[in-house]
Amino acid sequence: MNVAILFGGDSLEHEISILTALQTMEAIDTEKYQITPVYISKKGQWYTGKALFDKSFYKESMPLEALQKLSFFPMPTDSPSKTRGLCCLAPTYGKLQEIAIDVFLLAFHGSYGENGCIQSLFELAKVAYTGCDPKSSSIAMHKAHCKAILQEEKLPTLPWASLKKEDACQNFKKACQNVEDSLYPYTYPFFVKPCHLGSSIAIGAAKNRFDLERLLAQVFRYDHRAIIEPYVTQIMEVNIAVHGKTCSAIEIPLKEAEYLSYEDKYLKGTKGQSEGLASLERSIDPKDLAKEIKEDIRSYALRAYELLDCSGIVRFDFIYDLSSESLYFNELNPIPGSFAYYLFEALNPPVIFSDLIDNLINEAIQRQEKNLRLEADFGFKALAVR
Amino acid sequence: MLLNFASSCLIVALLYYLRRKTKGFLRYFQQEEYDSKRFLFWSLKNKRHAMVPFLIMLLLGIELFWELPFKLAFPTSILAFFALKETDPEKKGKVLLKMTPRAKELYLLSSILFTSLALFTLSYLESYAELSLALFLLTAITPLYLTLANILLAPFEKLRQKHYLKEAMQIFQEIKPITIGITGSYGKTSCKHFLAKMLRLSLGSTFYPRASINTLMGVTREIRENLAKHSQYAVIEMGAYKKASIATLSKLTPPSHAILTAIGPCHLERFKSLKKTMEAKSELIHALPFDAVIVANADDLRIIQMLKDAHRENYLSYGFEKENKPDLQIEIKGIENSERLFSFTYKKNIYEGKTKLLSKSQLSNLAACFLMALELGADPDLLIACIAGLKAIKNRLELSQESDISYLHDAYNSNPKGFCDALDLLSEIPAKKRILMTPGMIELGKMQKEENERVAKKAAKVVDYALIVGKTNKKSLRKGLIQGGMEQKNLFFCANREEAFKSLKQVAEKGDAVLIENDLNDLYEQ
Repeated sequence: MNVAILFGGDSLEHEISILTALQTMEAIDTEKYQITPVYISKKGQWYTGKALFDKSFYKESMPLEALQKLSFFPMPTDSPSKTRGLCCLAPTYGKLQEIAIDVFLLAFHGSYGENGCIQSLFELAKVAYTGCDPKSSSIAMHKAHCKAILQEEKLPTLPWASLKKEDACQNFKKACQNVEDSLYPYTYPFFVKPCHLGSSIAIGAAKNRFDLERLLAQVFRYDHRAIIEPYVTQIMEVNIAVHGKTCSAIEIPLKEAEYLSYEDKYLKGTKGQSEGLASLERSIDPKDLAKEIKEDIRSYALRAYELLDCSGIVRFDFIYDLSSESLYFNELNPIPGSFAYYLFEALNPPVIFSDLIDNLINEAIQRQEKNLRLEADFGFKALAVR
Repeated sequence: MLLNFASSCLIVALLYYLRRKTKGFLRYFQQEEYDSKRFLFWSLKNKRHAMVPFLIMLLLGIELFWELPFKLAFPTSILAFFALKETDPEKKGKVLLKMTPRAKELYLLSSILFTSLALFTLSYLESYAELSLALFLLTAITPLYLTLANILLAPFEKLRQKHYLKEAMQIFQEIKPITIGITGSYGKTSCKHFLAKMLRLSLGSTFYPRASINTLMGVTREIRENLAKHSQYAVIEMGAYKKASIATLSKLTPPSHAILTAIGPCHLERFKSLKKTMEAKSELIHALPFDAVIVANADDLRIIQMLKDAHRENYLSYGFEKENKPDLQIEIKGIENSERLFSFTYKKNIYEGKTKLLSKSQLSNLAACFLMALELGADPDLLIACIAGLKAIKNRLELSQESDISYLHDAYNSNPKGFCDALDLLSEIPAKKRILMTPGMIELGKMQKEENERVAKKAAKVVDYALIVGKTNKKSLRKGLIQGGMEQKNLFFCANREEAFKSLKQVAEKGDAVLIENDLNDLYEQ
């Protein structure tokens, strides 16, 4: 079977995506699958080439001219055209050549690759791709919408305020005052983060108004909307991945500072060179976490997976307030770093990474088949001549 | 000359040597921006490259008195040895050679030139003396191959540049972003980055050339490759390299507004006098429309004079000194948690803020950008919040902590004011001892010696140890440091940057603070 592994893209989490893709390429069963790595540069050009399998290729200035340029033409699979799907831009014998791909394995993180954009492209082309569909992806990547839906369904979330960049630019002082007012009776400290980004980019704790202003300015460099929540001082972050009806082991990421930063996630770790989220120090299936809390986490995660119509492997991040002993949903990652394979490998019995990938691919094919079963013809009625 | 095995080896060795050496020279040619005059002048000053020609002449001298056995083996070995010794400039060196299309063309044409000349010359030789002389000349004139190639390619390069420039002008005219030009002897790049971030955050999409690109062709390339269709603003750093540099750049990117930072003795090698520097920078003022917002440094009387001479009285000024009556008054309020506290007072409004940028010159740059962004319609509170998140540009007064040693990286460039600012900042950093590592300042023309001495004298009052890098300003720095009161035993001389870092490892201890001021490119470390 031909599988394209897509990664990179115009995203702040571009590098993290490369790490996830490299781990996937290493783990995937190459006897079952013929792999085509597809790297999307920050400028949006698609590439393929053997060099993409080598970690040392990825530097700040990569020799992209050594790769072959690609493009994607979203023609439906029943189209007679040879110029559809993934094609080489370097013409062979004067023609664009299609690269036959059965499944597109998405290893993106952040904008465009994780928020439904590329998923929409593949839906249009009626090709099989892994992970959440456009609707679940976009909801998952919009923290405010995700919280609102889950809160409506009685899943516990922290209260929040959201602020649009354009409102902040019109009258910043008033906008900050509105944030404070809408979070009342909660007061400082608050936690500020971008609405649409992951990997702990541009997050921070605001101890006072000056901090709030500074952090909002930081968020608006990268996003059009900020989310502000009351800051849980005695916080324990707890994560769990879900694939279908299977929950992974629960993890508590270990952090040095008050909250888990980008540096904690990707620039430190036990294995020396960063392996993305896989190398973060963590406590997996902690024995001292109460059974009831674990049960709650599993049940909330499974319910949320179902409510948001998720597919593939997702990771739910929860916050546990140690002072009030309350659990809150924090955020959902529709394509978690390293596909959270380390959490599935920690299960008993473990689910190894290559099996996870097999399941992702099979699920993608099944979804494509389901979609193709739907009738698309309702007859020519509205415009029919009477 | 008989084409036997020995002579074939010699020809191969010669061509290989010329190939490696030409590539090595190409790196310096590129650093001199393909200016043939400056490149040739530099190559004449650097006698290290005359080693091979000298050895070949030595062989000739020996042969005159004592007939050498295996005659051709000696020059072949010399050529092969030095060719292999030559490092690949694309991989090693402080500033790597970038094989741009222009560099590739120059290299190819130079290769054709020296190959043709070598084969032609060697085919007519009859004696060992003639051979030695020919080898001497062929190797001694290596820089000339590049220069000649540059001259031959000049018409094509000119045509290409004209085409690119026309394209860039068309693109810029179609998009018509509101353009802010920035000029001055220093602070341009910092202002460009700060202002672009402020505008992008608070007003609209903003285009700005990367790093410190400020030449006509550099900006042309940036426009062609990176100017997005929907860009509302453009912030262009305008470097004055010679008369009409800025005027020409202003035709490509007509400025609607301008920031004038400061005039100082930088790049005096090019302009020869401050008066000429001021004339060159004034080209930006002359390119502005009458309703332009001009933001000028009130503490720099030369800037104010430039505006007066250009009959531009309605400008907005910023500064620290109250007696200069700036429109925006900057006040420093100390340091808290490694952040500088400050206030800007403008039109009776006081804006208080904090910044990670600690030096006075950086604060001055921030004030300029704040004022410009404010006048363009940005929310002042958002600007202050933006300033709080700004970090130093790489190697421009960048403070870092490594193994409990504070490093103040100011390696990018150095001018007298910047150097003094860096020393002031170093003196504020709590430290057991303070160390300075610097090759001194360059491109100050006649003032180079004097300015290096002056700053070194000030440095002696701030630092406990000094590492002088390279020979370029060794004498002046040493003189200034000793005159300032530094003991000879606390002075270290290092041939190059690598050696200096090794010495630094031995001198610096936990709790110390180190200032790395200026970092010469490869040209000056030869």
